[in-house]
Amino acid sequence: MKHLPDSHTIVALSTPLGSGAIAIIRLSGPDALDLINPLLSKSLGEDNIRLATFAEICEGPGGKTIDQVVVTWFQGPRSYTGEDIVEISCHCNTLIIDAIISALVRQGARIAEPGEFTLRAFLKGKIDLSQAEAVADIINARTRQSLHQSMRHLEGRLSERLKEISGEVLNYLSLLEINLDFSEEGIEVMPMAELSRRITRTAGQLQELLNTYDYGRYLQEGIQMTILGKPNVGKSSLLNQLLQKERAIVSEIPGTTRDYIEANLDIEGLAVKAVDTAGIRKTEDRIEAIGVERTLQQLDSADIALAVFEGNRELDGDDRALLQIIRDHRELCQFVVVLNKTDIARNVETEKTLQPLGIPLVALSAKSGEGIGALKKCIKESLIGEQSLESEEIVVTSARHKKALAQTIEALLHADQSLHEGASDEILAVDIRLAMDHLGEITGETTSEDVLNHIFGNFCIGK
Amino acid sequence: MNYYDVVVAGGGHAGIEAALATSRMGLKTAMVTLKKETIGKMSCNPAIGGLAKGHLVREIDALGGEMGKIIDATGIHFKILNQSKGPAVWSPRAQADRLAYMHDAQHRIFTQENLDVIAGSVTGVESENGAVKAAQLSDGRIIPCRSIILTCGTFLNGCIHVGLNNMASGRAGEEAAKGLTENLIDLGFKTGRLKTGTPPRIHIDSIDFDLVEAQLPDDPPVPFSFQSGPIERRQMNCYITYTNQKTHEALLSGIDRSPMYSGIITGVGPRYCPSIEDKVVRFADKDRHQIFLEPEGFDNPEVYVNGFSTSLPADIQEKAIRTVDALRNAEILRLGYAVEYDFFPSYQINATLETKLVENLYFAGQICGTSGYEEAAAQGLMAGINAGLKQQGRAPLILDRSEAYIGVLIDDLINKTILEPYRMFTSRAEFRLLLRHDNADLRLMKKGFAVGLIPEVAYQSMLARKAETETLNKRIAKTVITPAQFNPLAEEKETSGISQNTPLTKLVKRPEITLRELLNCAPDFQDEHVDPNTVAEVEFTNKYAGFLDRQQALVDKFKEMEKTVIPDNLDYQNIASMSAESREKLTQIRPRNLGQAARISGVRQSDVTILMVYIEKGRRSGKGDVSRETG
Repeated sequence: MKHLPDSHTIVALSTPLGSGAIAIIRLSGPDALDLINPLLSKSLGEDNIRLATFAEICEGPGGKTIDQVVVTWFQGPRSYTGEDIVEISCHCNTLIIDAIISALVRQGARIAEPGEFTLRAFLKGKIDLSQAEAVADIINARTRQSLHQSMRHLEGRLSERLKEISGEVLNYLSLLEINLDFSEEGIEVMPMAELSRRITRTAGQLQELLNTYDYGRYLQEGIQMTILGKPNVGKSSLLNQLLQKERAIVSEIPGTTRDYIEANLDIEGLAVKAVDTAGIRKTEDRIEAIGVERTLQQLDSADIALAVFEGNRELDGDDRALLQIIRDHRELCQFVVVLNKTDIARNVETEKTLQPLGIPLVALSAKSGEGIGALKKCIKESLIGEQSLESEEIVVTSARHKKALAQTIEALLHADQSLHEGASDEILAVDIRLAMDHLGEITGETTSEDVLNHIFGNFCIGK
Repeated sequence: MNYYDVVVAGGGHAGIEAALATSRMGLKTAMVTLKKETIGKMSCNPAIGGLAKGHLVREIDALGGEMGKIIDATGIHFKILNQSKGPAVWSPRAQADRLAYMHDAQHRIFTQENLDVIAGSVTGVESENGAVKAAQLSDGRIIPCRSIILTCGTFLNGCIHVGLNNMASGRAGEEAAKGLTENLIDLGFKTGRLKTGTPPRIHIDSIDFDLVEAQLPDDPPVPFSFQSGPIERRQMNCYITYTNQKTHEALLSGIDRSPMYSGIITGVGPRYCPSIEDKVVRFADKDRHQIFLEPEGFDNPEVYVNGFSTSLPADIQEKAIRTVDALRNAEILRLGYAVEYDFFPSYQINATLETKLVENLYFAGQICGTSGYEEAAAQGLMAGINAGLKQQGRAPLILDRSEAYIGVLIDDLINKTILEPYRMFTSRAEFRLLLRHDNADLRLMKKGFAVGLIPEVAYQSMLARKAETETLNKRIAKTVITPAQFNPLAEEKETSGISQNTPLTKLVKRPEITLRELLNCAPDFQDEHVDPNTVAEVEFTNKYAGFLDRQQALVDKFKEMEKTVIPDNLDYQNIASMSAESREKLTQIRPRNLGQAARISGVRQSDVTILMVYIEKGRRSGKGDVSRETG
């Protein structure tokens, strides 16, 4: 069913993805404040209208902390959309952004449609009448753009695959409708046990697609990887090995990499943007101090971090400082422990301390390149598991698609449950229809006419 | 000639409802029909109702229409279909004594106050300033009138085909109506051509009843009309048999003389009602097709061979039908045939069934592209009611999709592109669970009463039933039963027992237990007689509460969309951001509100949003009559 924008509270990322240190998530609608306050360490209220407020945001009421953010409440009608708006400035890391949006959706917000903030601004009289045409153009342009995107190779294949699945679901609905609308015509349809088996199978296929979401997102947005470790532990050498050319300046003087260096890598087929940071250590040197601060900032926006230690020596104070950083950040970022310089010697005590962290550990030599292959595999597996990286792989990349798939699966499984409880066809049809509608958000609407067309095309109906 | 408030052209199922509605609303009405003796004739199968169609009949009845009462008076085989499914999709059907049905309908027409029947054929609509002025008849007579309702069935340039022979005819043995199509085209209407078919009728004594399966009617019969008493009429069986490979070979041997396959017929036929030769060709792997034998009355030897619709030549019809074991001696009394006729694509009418081009001109029935007695009657009734309300200066009666199958029917007609004769199916109703045949009175009778077609006594009895339902609902919501009261029933029904006091509303959700059984366990109700219909109503709303709530949530969303009214003068061609296809569709259909705009086939989601922006623009700049309807 086609629908109109409603007054539901909506949420979306409103800064471009992948650039900048800070991202802004916008929440707009009558329930904005009620939805976000349970997630914040400091509630927003009359005291901080239009005031930037520092707070921690968590996954759910009383749940784990996601990030430290700055939130600002613009009370309607004095806001962009004319509704209550809360703007959340968080660290620009896709995991963090996703976690915050997901938390707000769980609280009851809906992901905004293309151009919806602007549309609301117009409908609430916040945008001048002369701009109506522009608003319509934005809706039109964004729709075209998303149409264009869906033509792109990756999503095109997803859409193709979903159309196949959607055809299956249409078939289930048709079978139920035949039982209801043509029950007098003696048409033999699928036994219920078989229908149940197929519905479960379809739900499983959709689940597999859903499981590709993280991978898909990495493909779409690229992976941020940061390399951490005390000065002169071999971070730049490691980056050079991964890059296979001299990019970072490698020197024997600790602290040579004062700021940070970026390089685009291909690791087992994944696009990775690697950042070589200044060494982590407590320092009096002002320039290096800035570098360390930036290092920690980089970590906030990283998908994965390589923590580099000297495998041939015992851990010192700087190493222990890094260990603390790992413990503090491991919930929000994947880590891989790299034991460098193991071609020189292997220190048993160091390995004994690092092993129990439960973080993947790779021993290598950044100088000779020995063990680099193992590190690459380890990075890939940490990010996307056993997923194959064939170019034919179909992946889910958008949050909207992810949500639609999850809802489709839920409806299918509910139908299957009702089927086992002995529910009648018209009851099962409610959930299958719902599954169809959710899938339709990606593949396009299926009307009751389509169902009848399918029935007439495939079954001998009529007396 | 005399002036009439309303002229109804046609005496079929649509015409009967239209004419009775307007005359009962106090409007002086003339029914113009080719032959008075064929008013109310069942030209195709002898049954009323059926899946989804039964819902329509009960809704017609709840609004004050006649179809349910006629079939209750003349039915010979009543059956509620789909009883193995949930109550929402149960649907009543009854075979009629065909001649008795026709005579009963005629009696109601001939004895109706304010209603005259004129033998003749309407060939023209005379208009003045875009509104109806008079009806022109083929013999030159002119009937001055205020409204015209056209219910011409398959008669407009009707052409009957049997094999390669064809003749101008509206129905077997009856002449076609010529001239009206051309007149409407002159007025600016667009026309198209459809096709339908009918099977042969055979003599009841030529069937070998030892070789067929009998289908028994329900005992006792459940009437269609909320105003009918118990049905006492004697009932007959229907029978089922099947075609076989030999039948299919016989049919294929005549396919070169099929008017369909030789390209003589150009009209589009319904896919849900294909001819037997079509079924054999398209589904060649099926080794048999079902045939449903429907008797047409105690004193009528004709039996309708349902499932065997054909336009093949006479010799093939006879040869093929006799390959069926039970019909090896079949004597064909009337041949099957296909009929082609003109229709007027239904985007040309409004939700009141009034045409967009000519004020006070209404279309109802097959002229709008539908098929079926029930679909026709529903439109006839609504056209009659709305013509009447308009003349009385009252607001129109428009049913929405969440209220009635009739609402779904008319909404589909005005918004969808109709490519084949339109038949109702339950799957067309997205709020199917809420639209049961047995709650049609609770849904609609209030409206029928307000129009003036429902007598006070029927209305009061519905209100009493409603009150009783509400009371029972409230009482059971407060009732808990103890393990001692419930567990014996649980044991008997092989369901788990309870260990503590449990609300009745919780236990009734178990599929294996009925509300009546639970009431029998509860001391408060044990010895109390509650009307079984009331119990059924309350049981349904409680058993399916979760699903009903979900449908209700969708209904609320749907109604919200219906609230934003689109101004009549909106020029879609000015909306540059909108796709050309959407602009064209919206210009053609001119939806009343945003919800309707969203349902039009071919209008994109993003264009609906853009339309919303333009309506807001118009509202703010003070141009255009945009308003939000209340409630």
